[in-house]
Amino acid sequence: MALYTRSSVFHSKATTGVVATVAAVSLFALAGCSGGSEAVSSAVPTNDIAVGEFPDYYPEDYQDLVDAAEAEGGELEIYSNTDQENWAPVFRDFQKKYTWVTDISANNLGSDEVFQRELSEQATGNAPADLLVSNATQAWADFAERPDTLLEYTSPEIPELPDFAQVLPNVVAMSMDPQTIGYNTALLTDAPTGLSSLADTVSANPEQFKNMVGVRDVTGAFGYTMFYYLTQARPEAWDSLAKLLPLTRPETSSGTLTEKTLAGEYVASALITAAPAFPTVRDSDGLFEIVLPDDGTVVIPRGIGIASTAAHPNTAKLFTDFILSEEGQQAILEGGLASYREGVESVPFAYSYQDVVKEVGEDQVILAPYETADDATVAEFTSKWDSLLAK
Amino acid sequence: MSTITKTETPPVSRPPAREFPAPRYRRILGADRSSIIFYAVIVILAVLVLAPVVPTLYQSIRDKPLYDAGGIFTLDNYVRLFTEANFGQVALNTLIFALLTTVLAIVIAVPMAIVVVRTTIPGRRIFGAAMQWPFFISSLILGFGWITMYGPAGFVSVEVRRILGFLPWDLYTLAGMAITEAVALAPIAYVFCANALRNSDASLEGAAQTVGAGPFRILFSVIIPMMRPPVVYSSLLVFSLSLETLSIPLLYGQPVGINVFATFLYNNGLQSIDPDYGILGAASTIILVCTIALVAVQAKLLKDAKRFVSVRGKATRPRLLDLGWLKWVSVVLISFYVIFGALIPILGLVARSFTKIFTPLQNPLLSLTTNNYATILQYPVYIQSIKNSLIVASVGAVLVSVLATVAVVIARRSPFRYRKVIEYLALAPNALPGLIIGIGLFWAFSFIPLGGGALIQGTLWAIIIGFGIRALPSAYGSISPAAMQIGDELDQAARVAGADWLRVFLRMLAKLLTPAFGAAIVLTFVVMMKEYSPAIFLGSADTNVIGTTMLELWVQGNTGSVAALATFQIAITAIFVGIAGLLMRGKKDA
Repeated sequence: MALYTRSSVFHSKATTGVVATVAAVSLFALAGCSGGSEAVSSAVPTNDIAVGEFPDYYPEDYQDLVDAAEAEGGELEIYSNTDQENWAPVFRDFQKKYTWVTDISANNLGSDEVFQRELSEQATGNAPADLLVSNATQAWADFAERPDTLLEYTSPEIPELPDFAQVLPNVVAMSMDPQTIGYNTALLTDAPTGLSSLADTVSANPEQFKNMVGVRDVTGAFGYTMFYYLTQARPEAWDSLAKLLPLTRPETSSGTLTEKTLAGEYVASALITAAPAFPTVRDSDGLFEIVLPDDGTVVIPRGIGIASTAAHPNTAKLFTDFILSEEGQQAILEGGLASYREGVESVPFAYSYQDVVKEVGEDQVILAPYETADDATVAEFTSKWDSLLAK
Repeated sequence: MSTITKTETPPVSRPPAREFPAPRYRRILGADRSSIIFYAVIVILAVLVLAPVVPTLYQSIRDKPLYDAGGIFTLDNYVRLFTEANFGQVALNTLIFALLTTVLAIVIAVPMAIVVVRTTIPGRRIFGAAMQWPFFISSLILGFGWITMYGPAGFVSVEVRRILGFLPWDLYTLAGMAITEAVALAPIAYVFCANALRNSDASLEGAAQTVGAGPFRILFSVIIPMMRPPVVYSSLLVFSLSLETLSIPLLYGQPVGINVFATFLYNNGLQSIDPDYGILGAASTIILVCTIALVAVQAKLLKDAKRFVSVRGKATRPRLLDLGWLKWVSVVLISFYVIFGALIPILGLVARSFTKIFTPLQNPLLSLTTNNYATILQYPVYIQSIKNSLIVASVGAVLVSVLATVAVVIARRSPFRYRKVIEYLALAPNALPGLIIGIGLFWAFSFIPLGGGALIQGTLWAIIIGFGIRALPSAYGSISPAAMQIGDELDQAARVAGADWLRVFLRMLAKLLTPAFGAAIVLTFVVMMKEYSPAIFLGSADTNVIGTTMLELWVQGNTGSVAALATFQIAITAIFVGIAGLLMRGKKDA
């Protein structure tokens, strides 16, 4: 089909005008962004990195591992579902600790897509990923069950961490992400404190709030995880859901729920992972807020594991140890993810696991385990959920 | 007495006549060098076109993934496609979507073509030029723009909802998809109809005027009936394009679970942990059958349609019809389409890239920022995807244009026995949807023995090949008319002087075709810049292009970064076309 072949495209004045305007705009944009990220607020504690020093509980021959990693070339490839903003302080500090690390690329895929891509790449013999990061609990469990997918490694940091750190053999948690309720302060003046309080508020006025509440879609693995373990630990949540679900619309990611709540399409959304929501909380100047549900906060570990086909396995081991170390956990919190090691200093616009425990109380924290879901359980949960949705 | 003086011609000393022997061309393996080029080109084209298709057909009748050993032939995939995977509903959705899009696109394009080309409305030049905007903006970006402005959380929608209390439209439906796709595809129909109108014979209308027909009579009795062929042809084109389109159905249909052909492939290929390749292959085969059938019908119609365009010996200028007060109505309607269909969504997207918060609930001007651009330029992953797009588009444009030029000259100006086959092969990728090229090549690469596929799969070359296959018909179609304009006698004169085909090509045709070659490079660059669907399957995490990165970010909800990347893509395209236009101004003819 011979489209747009007429040279009038080049000669028309309108095109020249468009070109001039767009060129000016892009030059302005490029000139305007000098030097990247906004100034980190002074309330963020600086992370001191000890170069060349290791804690005394590390094995004696740890330096051999460092040398072997340096010989690999200083590159690292990560498949994760984590934002670049969350990774940035972690990479910065890892490169401070090991100055010969020059290139870390974290590719932002969907939480299930991480494994799907890795499996198909391992099957075709061309798998460049070194580390896999995802908070999809069932996908992780399924992936780890398959033979020869993960490298065997136990970090020396494990004894220094709480016992829920090792979520699966060869898979360790790098953060513990709380799931929150987000709401639009302009549209929902009655701020919710938890799932039942939100359900009460909106069900008191069904015509006003019909289709105005966002809910994470349970047909996706992540949504299923958060709500399944919530209702397992708190059966009374089903009552709140019975009031809430008829007024909701499902969405497939925290980011979408956040954007739509901010824009006013939804007055509130449940449940949104805290880490991707915080930048919006910070930027919206009070229009969008998140709250930890006081009647049960689901906390989902974000697992990290080394691929068996990793091209840089020793660098990957160093990275895993770093992530679990004091310095690494501080960097993780600075990036906005929920660190869980004791002794990490608080950071504004980020929840650490300790902050969550302090706010809702240890008995209201619900940890999601890394286990596969069998079809019967999934079907039972989903049919109960759908029956409430349909009302 | 004779006054005529006899002039004595002085003896001319001529150099002795030299023998100019016939040029001797080296023969390799008994074949002359031109034949080698002919066969090489046809083999390259055949491999490029068949590489995605054959593995797809093969996969559809195997019960295991291709790269798994063992596995038997089975038709079970087709059965499961309709029972388990609910493909029947998908096919129905696609049919409805394509029909709606076609009707809307024709309804927009045909009156606009008539009014802009053949009547005296003011601002005809601007409207004609404004219809070129899809050249710069891919339908993915248009979809982002529409959702940002008219989606349920869009700027315009929230404002309307505040004023009216409810939102009178829902973008996330088949109808919503069809409207946006129609806006994206209407310019294609417009170009065909406008060309046909410009080439039509004015003497027919002059004849109508001599028997007393007014402008409306001429319009309805002469002009519109003569437009039947371009309207039919462009409807078919729009229909087949909307059958295979991915962007708009992906953005609008995913949140509400409406699937068409392309999103069915997308979902079943990437979303599950264990993709069912058999179903994928079966679905791809069925889709291929539909698209190939449509392209065959188009080809047949184009042959017939050419007979309608009447080009007479006398030059005539079509008269412009004066519609009276109706012309103001037309101006309003056209402006409405241009402003609300294209301008507002795109400007809204650009504006979104400069704000942190983009909702009428809070004044956007309060949160102006260049942070979105800073984010893009700060993280190496995003800079890499911009770089990748540029590399793929520029390298690919050159390679594809070279291949297309050679193919055109062989198909039109050579004694090769299979030159018709070359033409069909070069135009065949019109029938291959982008996703199927991606899936098919992914399987083809896993087939190459000795792990050769691993060398290509996941590198930029795989993407260049995938996008290049998509862009080949456009390049071919833009060079072909230029080649046909060069008179045969030039070839024959060269032949008489002893040149073989290759020398004719290199010494003469290539130089005469250089402007068309340049235009093809620009066209192919733009096409490959906007392309992204083959990369979904062919790319690895390192070889993202702008389109796939935008999609990833959109799914995560980072609308600001998406808007910034989209503005980048528009800017790159516009700057490139502008520079190319300046360089080529006045050099239209060699």
